[in-house]
Amino acid sequence: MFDINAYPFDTEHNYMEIGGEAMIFHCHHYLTILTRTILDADYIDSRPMMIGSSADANYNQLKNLCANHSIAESKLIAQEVYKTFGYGLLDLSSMDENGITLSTTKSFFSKTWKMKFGLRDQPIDYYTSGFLAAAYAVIYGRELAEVQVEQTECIACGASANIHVVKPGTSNFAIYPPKQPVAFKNVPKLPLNWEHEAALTNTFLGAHATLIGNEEGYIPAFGVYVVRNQSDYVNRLQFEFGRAMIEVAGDYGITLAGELLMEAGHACGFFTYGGIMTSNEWNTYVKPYLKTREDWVKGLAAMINTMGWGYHTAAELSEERAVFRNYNDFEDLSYLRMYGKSDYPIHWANSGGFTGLMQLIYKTNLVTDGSLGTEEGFRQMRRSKLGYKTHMSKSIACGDDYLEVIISQ
Amino acid sequence: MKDIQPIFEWALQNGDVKVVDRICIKLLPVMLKNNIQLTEALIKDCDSIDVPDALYEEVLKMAVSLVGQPYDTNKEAKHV
Repeated sequence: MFDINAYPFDTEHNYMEIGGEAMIFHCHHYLTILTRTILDADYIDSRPMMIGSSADANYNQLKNLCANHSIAESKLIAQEVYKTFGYGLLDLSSMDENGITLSTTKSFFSKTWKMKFGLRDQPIDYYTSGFLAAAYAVIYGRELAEVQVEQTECIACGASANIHVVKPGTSNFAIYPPKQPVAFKNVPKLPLNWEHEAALTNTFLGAHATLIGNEEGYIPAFGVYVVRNQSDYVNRLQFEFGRAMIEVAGDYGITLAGELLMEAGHACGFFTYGGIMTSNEWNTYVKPYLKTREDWVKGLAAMINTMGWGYHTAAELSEERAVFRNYNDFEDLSYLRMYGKSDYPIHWANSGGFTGLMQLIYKTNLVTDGSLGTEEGFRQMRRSKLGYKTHMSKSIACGDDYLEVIISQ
Repeated sequence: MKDIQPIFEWALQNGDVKVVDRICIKLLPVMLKNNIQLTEALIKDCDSIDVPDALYEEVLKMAVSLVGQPYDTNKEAKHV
């Protein structure tokens, strides 16, 4: 009923779209740290936003994917989408016009939270609550504003299964206004200026389609768990959190939030890029082309430019200083769709990712002996005063032609 | 007034990445009430940060909670 291969990759904009929603990959390090950052600010009522962001993106997407399908078919499509994207497993067969009490033992968010941070005292799978609210609304022809959802049990709290209850009623999560269509910035791109770029990009073009949920609904890859996020779901979490922090503490609030949002990207860059650069695929197809550390950065860029995050390139690159660009990056395009122009740069995940990459290439033994180190090693390195400084210098959401990040020692 | 800089230094050495920013974000309302706006970068540049005793206790409690170990006052003495 749902086939990822039916959705071609947009090579001109390095972009992926499914059912009207831009799609990106994120790893469990990024998503768990992002979630913890938001929940740390417990004086902000973030639950409505956490569920609402998911419900909004999933409602838009499922409405497109399930159009002209029967109720039974739509349930199967929703289950397959959820599994294919790596969130776990759902059985929607008992859903009816009164909603559903759904139990599942396979949840990406609960599993990876417990794996990374241990047990907590409140349920954590806000994404799935939002997904189920959206699926119910789409399948039974309701508006999101007419649906209630609650997660009552969570594996991350020690329960044997996650339980979500969906029912008709005035919504108990945030409802967002319609979004603008995607608006690419069509400007000439600064090429990577690397002779092997085209060969590598062509090798990996389409390879993303192999990253789909396994029999448990998870996507273990490159030493991490990845999921296919609706870009606007995950970015709305960042943006709404940033806005809430500004309400609490003005410029200081967004500065503090930005540091932690960037850290989520940093961990993602370190662990996911590190996992890619120690994978069999990397060793087989990419490593033969690599002579210098700068080649490693460019090899990674050539590869990840097929993943839907935009076109990554470098205007300057050395151990002391790098200037990275991303044309049509996923964060800026997302911001423009949902909020319009921004007064401040909002591409924290990209910026943290580039910084993590610099740290990997120049401050670990990855290039020399292929070792990435442990999570404790990552902590030690991040405590070190030898780390890089990150400056978000240009942003499409602020009116620039591309995203730019300057990373220096 | 008491100095919270040694607590932050201890948390930096023993806690998770960005633990100082996490302490700041968790205690944001009480920090703002005391007209204090700190980030990890600022804290690293300070020799001392004197705050009212009640806020010192809040920072200490939060640091211990996030680091997951008792605060070692002997280490504090070395920093001071």
